[in-house]
Amino acid sequence: MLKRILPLFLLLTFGCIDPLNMGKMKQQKHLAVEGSFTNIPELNYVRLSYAQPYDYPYNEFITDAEVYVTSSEGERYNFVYGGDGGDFYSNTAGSYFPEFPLDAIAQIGHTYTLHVVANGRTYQSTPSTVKAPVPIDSIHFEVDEQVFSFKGYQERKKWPGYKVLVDYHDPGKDANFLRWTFFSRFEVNTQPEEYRTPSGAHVPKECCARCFLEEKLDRFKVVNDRLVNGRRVINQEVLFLPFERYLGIKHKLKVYQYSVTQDAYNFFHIMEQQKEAKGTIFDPPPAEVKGNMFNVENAEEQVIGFFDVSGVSMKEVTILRSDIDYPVIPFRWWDDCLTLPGATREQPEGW
Amino acid sequence: MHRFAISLTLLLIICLFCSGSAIGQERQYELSGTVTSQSGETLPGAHILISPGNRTVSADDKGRFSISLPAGEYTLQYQYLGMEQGVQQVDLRRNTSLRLQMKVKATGLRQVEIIARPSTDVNSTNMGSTYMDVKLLTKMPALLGEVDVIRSVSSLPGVVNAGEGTGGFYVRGGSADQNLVLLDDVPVFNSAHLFGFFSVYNPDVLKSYTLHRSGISAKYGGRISSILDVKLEDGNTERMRFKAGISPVSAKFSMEGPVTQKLSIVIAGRAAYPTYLLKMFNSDNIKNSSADFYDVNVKAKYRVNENNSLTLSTYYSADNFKFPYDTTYNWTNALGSLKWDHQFNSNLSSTVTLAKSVYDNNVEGIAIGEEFNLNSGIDFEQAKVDFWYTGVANNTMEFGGGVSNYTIEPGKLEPYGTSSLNPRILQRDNGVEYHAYVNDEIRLSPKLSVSLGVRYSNFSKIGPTDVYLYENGRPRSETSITDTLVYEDGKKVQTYQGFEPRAAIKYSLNDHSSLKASYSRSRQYIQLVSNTAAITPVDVWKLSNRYLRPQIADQWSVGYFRVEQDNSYEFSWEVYYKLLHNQLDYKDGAVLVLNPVLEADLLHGDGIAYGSEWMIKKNKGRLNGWLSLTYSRVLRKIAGDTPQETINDGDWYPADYDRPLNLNLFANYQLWPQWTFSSNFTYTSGRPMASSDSWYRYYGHIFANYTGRNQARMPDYHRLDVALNYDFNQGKKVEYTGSISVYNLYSRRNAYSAFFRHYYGSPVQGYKLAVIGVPIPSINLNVKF
Repeated sequence: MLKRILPLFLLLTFGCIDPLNMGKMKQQKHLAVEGSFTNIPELNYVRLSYAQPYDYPYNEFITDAEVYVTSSEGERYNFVYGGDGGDFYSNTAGSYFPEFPLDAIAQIGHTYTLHVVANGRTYQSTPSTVKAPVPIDSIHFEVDEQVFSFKGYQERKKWPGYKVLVDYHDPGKDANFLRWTFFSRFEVNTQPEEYRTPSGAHVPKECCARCFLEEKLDRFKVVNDRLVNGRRVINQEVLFLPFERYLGIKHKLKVYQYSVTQDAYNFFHIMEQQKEAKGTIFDPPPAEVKGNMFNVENAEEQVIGFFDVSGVSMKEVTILRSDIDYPVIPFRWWDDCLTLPGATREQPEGW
Repeated sequence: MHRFAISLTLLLIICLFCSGSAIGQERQYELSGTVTSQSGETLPGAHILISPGNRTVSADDKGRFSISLPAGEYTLQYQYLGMEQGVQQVDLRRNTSLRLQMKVKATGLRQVEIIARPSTDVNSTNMGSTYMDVKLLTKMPALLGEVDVIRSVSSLPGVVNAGEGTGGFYVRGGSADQNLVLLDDVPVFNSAHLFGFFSVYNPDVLKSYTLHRSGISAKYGGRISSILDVKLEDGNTERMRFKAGISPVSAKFSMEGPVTQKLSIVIAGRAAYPTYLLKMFNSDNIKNSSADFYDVNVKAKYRVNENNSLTLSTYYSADNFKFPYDTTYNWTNALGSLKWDHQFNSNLSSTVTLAKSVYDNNVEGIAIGEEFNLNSGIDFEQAKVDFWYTGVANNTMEFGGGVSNYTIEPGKLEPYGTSSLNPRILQRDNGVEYHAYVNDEIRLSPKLSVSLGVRYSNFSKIGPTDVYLYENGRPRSETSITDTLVYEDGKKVQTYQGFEPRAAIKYSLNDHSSLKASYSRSRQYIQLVSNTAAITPVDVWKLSNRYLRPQIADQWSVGYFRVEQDNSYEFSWEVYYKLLHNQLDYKDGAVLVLNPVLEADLLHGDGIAYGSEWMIKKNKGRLNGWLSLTYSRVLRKIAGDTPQETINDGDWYPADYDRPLNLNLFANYQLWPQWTFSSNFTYTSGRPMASSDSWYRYYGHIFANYTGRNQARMPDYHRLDVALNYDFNQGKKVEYTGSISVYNLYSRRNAYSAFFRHYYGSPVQGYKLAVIGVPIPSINLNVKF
């Protein structure tokens, strides 16, 4: 709410933003761990990379680590490296998945610990216990205009689209913390017959106009039930989808609602703050984000990231363009739809 | 601690006797009195030169002075800003009390000697206090057409401003809420209008301000960094005078003068209306936004008789800020004081003060599904009595006491419409504080004076309240609460008390220079809980409780002070060292709004601050002004029981207010009789910030990896402001003045904050946000009749 004052505040005050030269700093390699273990198999993975100095613009992933999850109830699941599949932005580089069973899942109430051995160092997460999921009662949509940047494009601009809103009953008993991720599959129609070469010559392509895309969408937004404990919560905004590209024909959206621990809530809350920070008087100063990973032999080493153990509920909805009460402008892409990153002609099962 | 206070009291009594006997050798008499203008206004800070002997004495904030001299014939020369110098002969054969009256200076020369009074007094034990008269203030370059007390305070040694667009300032490494900001003896809880571009002080009715930052008299207390004591005009007794002023974004009007022979009044109003400028923007969001404020001062002084007067001073202000479709902010300040000044005899006078200050804040959300009203505020009441006694030769005693009552509404959330929020009311924060003090300034010899004082304060947090008990060994959080203690209405929950000894000593090297040293302890029972860098409308005041222990500061300082005989130049050098106890800091990601377990998000630790301040000031001539230079550090150490409650592994780290180097240059030059040019340059080291050594990709987004707290520094801050002032028809019945000023002349983009971002088309890197990045010209016109 407060952050939305910024544009006005800036104009009121003749403000401006300039690059800042921080100078060289000594840095060791910081391991960054992204991972989750839940009761839904497709959400379970661990991804390992290194933080880089500012003058080095590329990612460095770890492909040869030993990764496994244990529980205080005696379970052990080994994770194996999944290879560098997919395109640059939705790839699985650095990702590890359960080896056996492939659909290993977390049991509600069990307490899990992640172990990582990378470059001869042994890392571990603090143990955390899976909380019971909170079911999603319904998902609905509202037309809005919001700033959005498409995956693979860093440009941020305002698009018309759908706000995705969920309703649920907050359990009255304990403090609850929720987070959401999404899996979206959608159909696009492009115009290969209007293709022009970079020099401008009109060279119609015969294929292909109809493609299917899928995307994993992650958001850092977390909520607690401090102000809504035990209430029915309506219209909790969880995602924004622009009509452009996403909602042109048909879209199937899976919404995963995670019951996260308080530590995970704190972690994602600070990550969200830092992602949104614009340095206004309303922003808390940026600070080190403390995750739950540590080096077993050297507590001084800074390890980035959080191993999230959650109970998750899922609900899927289908959105047809014909159902949208808004003059959606058809998606324009004067080329083969397969040139869209991640596109395929294969129709998903049950489409 | 108690032992220390007792020994100090003993010392004080001994000194009283000593001083009596020491002077026995040569018969001394008390020369005391008041300095007023012809129209009856007291002239605090009037400067009196006594010859032979070249002794000087300054009038206090009520225009009173007192000095002991051997019997003899003396000539008193007294001067005050904008007044003609007065001369009076005195034949001192017994204790004598005088009434010195001064005439308004014929114009023409008036502006040449703009700074007639030195801001340091070499002959008193006062140190670390700076006096500023409104006449000088009005010569400083303006921002948006108005000069401002808070901005001018930031040009003094040891003071830095909290950042453009904020109303706060830091004194000697203290946070913004460690300054007690007074308006006619009433504390002001939010001194900013329009994000700090204006302050609550209307310069048209301002008389003077004094900033005390070390060697503070036991009379003052309640905050550990500084006291900003701002006084308004009393209203003259001669004739009604009117002032009006206008600038592109604000307008003001004031009148002051007699209603009857005994009653004089001051009425002033101001309004700022930048909204019409917002309408000129293309963006709908800005077009439909609004921002404005208005404020009103009403003051009345009734002179009952020679020995009694009653003064009522009130102030009301309202700020509105609306962001379209979403949220509106409103805050109001309502404060007032009623004072009864009584003169028992020429040696004893008293002031009884009743004060009240109410700050209310409202945030309204109007987004569908989230409609709410969030109210918070503070209600402060105080009753106190202060005495001033000069009956014992060579002693100026001040003593008194009082009681203050605090009621804080930390937050009341009232949802409406389709809102899915639960209503939530945080428990009121109630407290009561008692204080008593005695302070004695003793002139042991013409060269040596000491000031000894002690203040006692006692604070109780009062129910109704729930106090949470937390599990040992785990970080405090909502989930580590093991039990709740319920206190009923009016029940004492927690009491803190303590003595605050104060001592200062002055040794005159000669007639115009002296060495001074001081020690003071101060205690603070109320704090502003805010993890942004400045005071914003959503911050919450919080009283000390079981977990928030009172903040305590011990300060030692020594200094050298010199004023040239003719007041043309003055120089001061002061070195200080402070120990700070129970300082507040915040856990990362702390939730401060509507948090019933606020203490779980707060961290506590100790701090040290030290520094050296130099100031050279030229008071006379066509060119006058000052240069001040400060080197200072403030460090903190927060080592809690768990890693979550520890900052930077429990090592010392620079506090948010650590700005080592600070330089200010203010110059005022008389170009021609009607024209003056003034400029103000300021330079400060950058604020500490978290440093980032690397970037990483996380869930598809780029992040900066920060290491530790406050380990790097933002770029340095510097800025030059200039102003050209013109008096249209000096000395005429209707007097016009105008000024053109430019704030931030060379367009420096000073960093307000720094952050790391990944912008389209550029690598991940650090950026700075500047609140003001362009020169801001303004013009204003004032008329006086």
